[in-house]
Amino acid sequence: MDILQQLSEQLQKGNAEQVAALTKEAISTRLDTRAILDDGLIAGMAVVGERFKVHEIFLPDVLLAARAMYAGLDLLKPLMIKEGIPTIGKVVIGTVRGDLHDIGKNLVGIMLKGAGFDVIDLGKDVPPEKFVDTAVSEEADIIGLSALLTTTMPVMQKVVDLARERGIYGRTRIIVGGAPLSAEYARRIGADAYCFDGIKAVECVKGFVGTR
Amino acid sequence: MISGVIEIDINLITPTVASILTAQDIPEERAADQRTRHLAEQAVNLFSELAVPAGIAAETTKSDFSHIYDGDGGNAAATPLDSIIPAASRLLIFAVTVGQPICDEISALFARNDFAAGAMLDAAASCGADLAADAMEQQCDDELRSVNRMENLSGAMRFSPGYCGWHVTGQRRLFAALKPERIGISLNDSCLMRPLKSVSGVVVVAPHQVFDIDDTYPFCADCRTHSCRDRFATLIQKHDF
Repeated sequence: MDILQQLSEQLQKGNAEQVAALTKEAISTRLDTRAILDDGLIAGMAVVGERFKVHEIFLPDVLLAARAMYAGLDLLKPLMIKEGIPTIGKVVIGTVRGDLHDIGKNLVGIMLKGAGFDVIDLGKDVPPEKFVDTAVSEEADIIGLSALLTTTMPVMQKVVDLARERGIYGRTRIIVGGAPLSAEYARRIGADAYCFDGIKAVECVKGFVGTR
Repeated sequence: MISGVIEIDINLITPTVASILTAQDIPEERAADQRTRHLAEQAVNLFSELAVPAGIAAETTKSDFSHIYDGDGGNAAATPLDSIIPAASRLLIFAVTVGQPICDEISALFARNDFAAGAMLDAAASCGADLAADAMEQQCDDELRSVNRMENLSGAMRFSPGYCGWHVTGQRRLFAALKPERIGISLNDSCLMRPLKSVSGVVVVAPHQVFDIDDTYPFCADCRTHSCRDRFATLIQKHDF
């Protein structure tokens, strides 16, 4: 089995130490950085995502795999910067103003990073202006908004309105998520998609970025 | 009736491995998976170590509770409590929490990329908060046994803002009446409680039949648990009504 296959397998098993060791080995043998990322790490996370989708594995397995992925990514990141290797897209995420729930948002961020996206996590209680300002300055492809309270959902509308005012609406897609939300709500406020979990978020974002 | 600051026995609110896995939609058979089991057991241990449970309660009249329940006027047009409250013999507003240290540890675990442990502890803390609220409900129910409960066949069941058509902004008047800040639970402008793993609501004592809720209200379609049915079944079974 070649080293990238081993890397993918160990990531799927959630073995962070093995993934770090194999990533180091792959780098030391001067394997192409992009190949290590795409064919080792991202390939492994893609299998994890598919298995999670069909309920073969469950959240703890996904998160252990993600941790393993991060162990590899931490080693690759300096090389990616040095070689100017871009990520497949940039996503700004956060929990909207007034809301402090962040588990769901964290899981989406983890899954997006695992899929090869550059994720800028603004944290919790984020004002609408910060989402849009960051999306503008970072030239983000996607803004991802999370809310778990019906009282904080209206902030999402403000983000959409601000995105229109700043002229990025349509170019920067807006996805929303959180227990009280729905696809209908997303449509009503002008968001591009409602994503009920991290897997769906990855699918949506890949779809949007892929249509550029 | 219980009232004031309530001591909550941590043993009553420490979740089981099974309940933590169920909370994450992980099937029971996965509890046999060593790695998953270990994560859940670790979460139980962390919960026991870090939980600082606290509760506060106050008995209220139907008229005062109606004012609390009306809140900012955001309730659904028809709710189960519309028929339950008039039948109530006693009403107890309450708030419980598992404390801030667990919430801080969840954030810390995620910050150091220990995502699986963080998510497991989050699930444990949510279970624990629910168990704390159940403990409040149970205390009311236990108290009933000593006062002619069998005559009127009453039971106790809890309801919280944000569920069953009671708008989440109902917490504003509930907090104004109860003042849970005294035990470290605060409410922000968006009606978010801190610590996050807290529960507020009312325990209603009423003839058990009124808790036989028809879960076909419009808002029931969005409910992920329909726990009202399970809780009613438990009430009936517990007291052999």
